[in-house]
This record gives sequence, C-alpha cells and structure tokens, in this order.
Amino acid sequence: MNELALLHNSLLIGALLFGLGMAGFLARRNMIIMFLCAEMMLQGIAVSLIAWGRYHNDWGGQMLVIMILTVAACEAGLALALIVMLYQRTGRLDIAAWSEIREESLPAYQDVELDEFTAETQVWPKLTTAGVLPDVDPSVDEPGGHRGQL
Amino acid sequence: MWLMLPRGRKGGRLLGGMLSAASLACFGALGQCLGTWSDNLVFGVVGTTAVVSAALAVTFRSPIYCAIWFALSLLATAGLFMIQGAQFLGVATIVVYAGAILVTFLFVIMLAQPEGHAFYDRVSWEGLLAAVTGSVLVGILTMTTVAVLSPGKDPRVMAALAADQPAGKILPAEKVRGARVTTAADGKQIVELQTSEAMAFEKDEAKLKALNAELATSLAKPLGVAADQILVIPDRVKLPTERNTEKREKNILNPQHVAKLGGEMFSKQLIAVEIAGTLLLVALVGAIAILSIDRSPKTRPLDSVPTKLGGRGPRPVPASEASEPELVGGKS
Repeated sequence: MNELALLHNSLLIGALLFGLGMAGFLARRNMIIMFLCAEMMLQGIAVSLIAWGRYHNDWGGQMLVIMILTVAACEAGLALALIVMLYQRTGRLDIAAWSEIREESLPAYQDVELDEFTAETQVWPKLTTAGVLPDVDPSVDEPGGHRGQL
Repeated sequence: MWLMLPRGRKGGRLLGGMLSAASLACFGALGQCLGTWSDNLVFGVVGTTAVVSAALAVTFRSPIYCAIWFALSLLATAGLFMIQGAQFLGVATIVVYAGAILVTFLFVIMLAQPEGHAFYDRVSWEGLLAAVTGSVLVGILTMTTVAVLSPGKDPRVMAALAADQPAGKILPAEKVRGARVTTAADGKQIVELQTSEAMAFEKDEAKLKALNAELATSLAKPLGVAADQILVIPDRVKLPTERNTEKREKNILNPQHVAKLGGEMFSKQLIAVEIAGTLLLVALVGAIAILSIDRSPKTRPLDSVPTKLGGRGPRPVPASEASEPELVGGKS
C-alpha cells in the first residue's frame, strides 16, 4: 500500500470530519446534537493522528488517540450530566434558552417565526410488522395509534 | 451544507444534498491512489460512508436520526482505523462509543418530545456562517495537505531535469516529488524542488551551485527569462518514504499488535495512563456532583439563582424531605 497516499487520504477525511463537526456545533441548537458534533470533531482528529502514527512508524499517534478516547468518555459523562441539569431547569434542550447569560454588549437572539407545525413534516422511523397481532381492545385504541399513549 | 441545515422552511434540502454530493465527488478526486484496486475500493467506501453519514448526522432534524447516523459514522471511522492497522483502537472505538451512543440514544428517547420535532430542532443558529466557517477550515486544511503531501510537478522543470544530462545526473528526475515555479518580488524565477536529496544539497555547496547552473541554462528558454534570473531551491520538506516499510512491519504493523501496543503503553507512556485514569475518576466524581447539587435537600446553591436566568427559584422543601437526615445526593 502506498503509505504517503494513505496518509494523504486519511488527512483529508479527518479534515472533513472536523469541519463538519464544527459547522454542526455552531449551527445546531439541540444540546444533545451539539454534543454529538463535538465527538465528531474528536473523531476527525483521531483519524489524522492514527494516520500520522502509521506513517512515522510511531506508537505516539495511537497513544494520543487512547488519551482522546478517555477524554471523550469523561466529556460524555460530564456533558450528559450537564444536559440533564439544564433540561430540568428549562424543560427543553434548546441552548438558546440560556442566551440570558451572554455578554452584555451582544444583542439577544431573535427566534425565527415558524409556520405552524404540520403532521407530515414529522418523520418517525417505521417499523415493519412482525409476529402475530396481539388481541387489542378496540375501545382503548386511540386515534394517534400506540404513540398516543406516550 | 447550509441548505441542508434545518431552517424551519421547506425545500432546499434536495438541492443542498445534490450540491454536497457534487462537492464530495470533487473532493474525492483529490484522493490519491493507494495501490491495488481493492485497497482503493475499501478505503473509498469506508471513507465516503464516514463523511456522508457525518454530514447527515449534522443536518437531520430529528435527534434520533442524528444519533443513528452518528453511530454509522463512528463504525466507518473504526473501519478507517482498521485499514490503518490500528486494530485495537478500531475495536475500542466501537466499544466505547457504542456505550456512549447508546446512552445518548436513551437520552434522546427520554427527553425528546413525543409530539414531534421541537422548534429548536427545526431552526439552526447562524447556519450560513457556521457552514462557511467549516468550509474555510476544511479548505485550509486540504490545501495544506495537498500542497505538502502531493505537490504539483511543473512539467517544464521535470522535462528539463529529464532531458538535461548533467542536471539529471546531479538530481535524477524520479527523486523529485514536486517542482514549483514562483516569481519573487524582484522578478527572479524561483524553482522549488521537493526532493529527498535536499539534505545532500545543503551539505554540499558546490553540488547545489552545479545544479543551479545546469538547471538555469536549460530552464531559461521554457521560462522565458535570462539564466541569471533563475534560482533553484531544493526544498527542505523531509518525508520518510517507502524505505521503512520493513521497519513498519516490525513495529506498528506487527502481527502481535495488542502486545506491542500494551508494551508501549505500560512502559513509555505509563504516566499518561495514570493521568487518564485520574481524569476518569475526577470526571466520575464531577458528574455525580453536578447531578446531585440541586436535588440534595441541604445544599442548593444553584436553585437560588433568580428565575430570570431560567432557574426555578427556591423550591419549597417538602416536610418529609426536610426532616430526612443528610443523605447527600443519594435521594432521588
């Protein structure tokens, strides 16, 4: 295998992953997705590090990636704990709910007016039916299907 | 990319997807040949999966889909690790992130509103700015990578090196990885050569002078300037090349990968391992502390934050809880 080409291609992919993660982190408002994007940036770095390590025939790259994995695990724990705490306070996962703590000189974030939420814009994963249909009492059945129970 | 981000409006996603696919194809054209076609195919498929699913994870509205696509992206990244011979890390990534992603997934199901997408999932912050920032970053990184690792070969310089007998003898054309011609401020034409022989030229002034003289005379015509206006610089970018393939087989591509990795980790990098362990412990304690702060009956500093900041204000302590002895954090 051409080592230089492998390094070259891996660095490109690493750069793409990092860039995508950063754009997502800046753009998305859901805290869970922001967290996912941060992890994606770490993945981009890890790909580059391993490629460099292989190229230079050195274990340092892989050691650093192990370190990154550890830090990512810590970060996941802390971030999810924080998300739960913030969610309990505001009742939503929106990071814009915390724009009160911005710098004083910055303008407040103006929420965009949205058109009314319609049923067809909502997409849920569809599960194929499997097994025998259980005996359901039709009088309990709600118009929303099983989801209405949630 | 910007078109694909949720904006609270319909349309644009298809167009954005097509534009992204086109740009990805252009990007793929930058890739280099890895060797056999099977290598290329495997790397291409895995790399494309990683990038495409990452893009989808960023752009999907529903957090559940985001988590699923992110998991796929992680699988592909683990595949990339495997291709590069880091088997342990490939498996470790899957194990660690499978846990993390599973937890995230549960969180999404637990916290996401069953009525549908929340409004904040349908609108992004400054989507255009974020996309531009990301693209600029990727562009800079890509340009640097391509410029250093696969520099262009100026055909005029290469032809001169191949044809000119004396110059070709001093520096054989196959040892030149890249050649670039730039114009300096004073009108001089500077020929930069990326070569593994640069060190030899640095040590040997006479050799460099000979190369300069030979190349300058043969390049004067194709470049269209006088010979004394041409300066040849062997570039110092030093790249270990194919020659240490055997060393690699013994070290980083050793069949006994995990044994080697463990040996390295617990001998040379022992302190790093200790630090990592400490970090995990601290994070564990920290996470528990964060979660238990506003629930423990006695200490409730964050709840006294004014409601303006989004806090709930001081919560009335129920009598049953207040009379409880200090079981900090353990309750709830």
